[in-house]
Amino acid sequence: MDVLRPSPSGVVAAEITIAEPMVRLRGVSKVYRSLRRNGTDVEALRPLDLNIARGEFVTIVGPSGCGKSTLLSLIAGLSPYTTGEIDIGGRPVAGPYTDLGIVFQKDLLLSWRTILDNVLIQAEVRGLDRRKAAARAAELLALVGLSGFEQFLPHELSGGMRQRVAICRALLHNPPLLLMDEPFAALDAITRDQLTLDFQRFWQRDRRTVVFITHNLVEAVFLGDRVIVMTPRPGGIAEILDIDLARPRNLAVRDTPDFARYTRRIHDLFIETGIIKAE
Amino acid sequence: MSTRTRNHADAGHPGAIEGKPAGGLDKGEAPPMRRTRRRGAGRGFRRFYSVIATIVVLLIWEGGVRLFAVPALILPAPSVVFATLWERRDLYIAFSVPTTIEIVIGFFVAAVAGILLGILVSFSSFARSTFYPMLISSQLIPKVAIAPVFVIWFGTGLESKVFIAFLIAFFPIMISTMVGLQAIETDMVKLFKSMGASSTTTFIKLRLPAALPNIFAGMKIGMTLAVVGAIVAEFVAADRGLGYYLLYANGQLDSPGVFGAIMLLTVIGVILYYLVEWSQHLFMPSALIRAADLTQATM
Repeated sequence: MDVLRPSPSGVVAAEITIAEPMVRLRGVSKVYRSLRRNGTDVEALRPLDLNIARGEFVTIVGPSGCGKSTLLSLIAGLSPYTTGEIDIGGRPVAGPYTDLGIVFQKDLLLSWRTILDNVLIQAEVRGLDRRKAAARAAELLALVGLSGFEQFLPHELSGGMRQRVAICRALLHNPPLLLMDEPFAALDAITRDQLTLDFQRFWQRDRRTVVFITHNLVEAVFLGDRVIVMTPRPGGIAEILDIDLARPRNLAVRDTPDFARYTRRIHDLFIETGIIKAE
Repeated sequence: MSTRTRNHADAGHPGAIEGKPAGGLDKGEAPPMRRTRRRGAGRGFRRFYSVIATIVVLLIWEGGVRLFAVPALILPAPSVVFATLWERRDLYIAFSVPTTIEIVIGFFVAAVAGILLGILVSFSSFARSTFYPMLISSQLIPKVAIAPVFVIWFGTGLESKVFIAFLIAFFPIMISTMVGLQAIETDMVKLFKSMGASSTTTFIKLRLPAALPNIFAGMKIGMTLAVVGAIVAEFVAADRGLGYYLLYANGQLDSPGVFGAIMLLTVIGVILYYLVEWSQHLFMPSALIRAADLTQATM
């Protein structure tokens, strides 16, 4: 695990941004070529630049279809980019980048494996030592409040619990970077609040770099050190907001004027870019 | 094979959830109630429901035949059929053996070939564009009609029967294997790629275990079809077997003999079917099979 930083102030994070970006995107764009001869190509992402600092929690917010999931796929090397360059930790991304963890909107647990074995799939595929991995898996499951459920099958757990398992699986190999594609979007509002709170606490333990995609601007402001607001398709960056709210943030922070100012700003951006039609 | 049977926390085990530390769970996130607990008491008795239903049907049959004095030539009473089965037990046993062997070998070859071809067609676009259309069109030829040709090719012995049983049984197994292998979410494949999985690893750890419920569904259909195949083959050319005897007894207007053969064939088919179903437990967690059976029942 990364070294615990004593004071997670925004100033330190800003310095790190300049010193050593964890993820660096330069002029990255994505065009889906039409398969038909005279069909028009679809531009999913306009060329964009983005630096994500080590230990930073970046949230990307935008409407569905704005290319935010595409952006995540590009960073993970799961889909080739059309122009520009991406590197993570100084290494260029070409093909699937494996030194990271991914959490999707669906938990994607394997129904025939127990909870513990679902977390351990990460170790099996990577060929890690099973005994060490099992110990770490148990530790992670305990951290998310799931000790005692190791031998259960996924269908015996609720949606929120399953998504916690998916997070444990993504972190088993202790990756420096965690990518999350609307991980809480399929959950009900109460479970979602709980997981958001729990995940913040969880993240503060080791402060690894997180890129978190959401279409929920409250969630984006609540979790992010920075919020990247996307424009509608073809996706680009409308604005980047630095969220200067002390951590740990509790649910009540959502009712403060400071918090409202951020969400108001994002809301205005959505209206400016035509995502929301003004009243 | 990456899946294992193991004594995981059985869904039917009472107290499995009460034994857990309650503190680890967050509010509003209790696991779903377990259905099996309530079912537990009546389950042992329910097992015999099918037996009771069968007995009731046989009784109605027996009563109906006696009440309306139906001649044995048209419909022999179950008691007459059982008496015939008992009288000619040596013959019936002797004829059951070759038929059972034909069914089992035919099914086994169909299962191996069906699964392997299903895998091949799923992963090789070359096989999909060359070999697969041919396989489909081969299924459109009525196999019963060309069964005599197979007798010419393979003789009147075991081989021609096994071949016809195989030919009829293999197609559903291949198709269900293909469907199972392809029914994987794209994000699931992405997840495996991001773990650095090779296509072999993805196949062994993800695709094949995910396809198992489909493969077994196909094998269950295949088993019933293998029975049909073996009997049809025996109709065409044989000097032994239950299908042969069925035809022979029919020619003699020996209805009790015909019904005896049919009953025996049914029993053999049912036993083999349940053997396939039972073998599922070697590859899949039992709780999952129960869940899958429920969805199948509602279809």
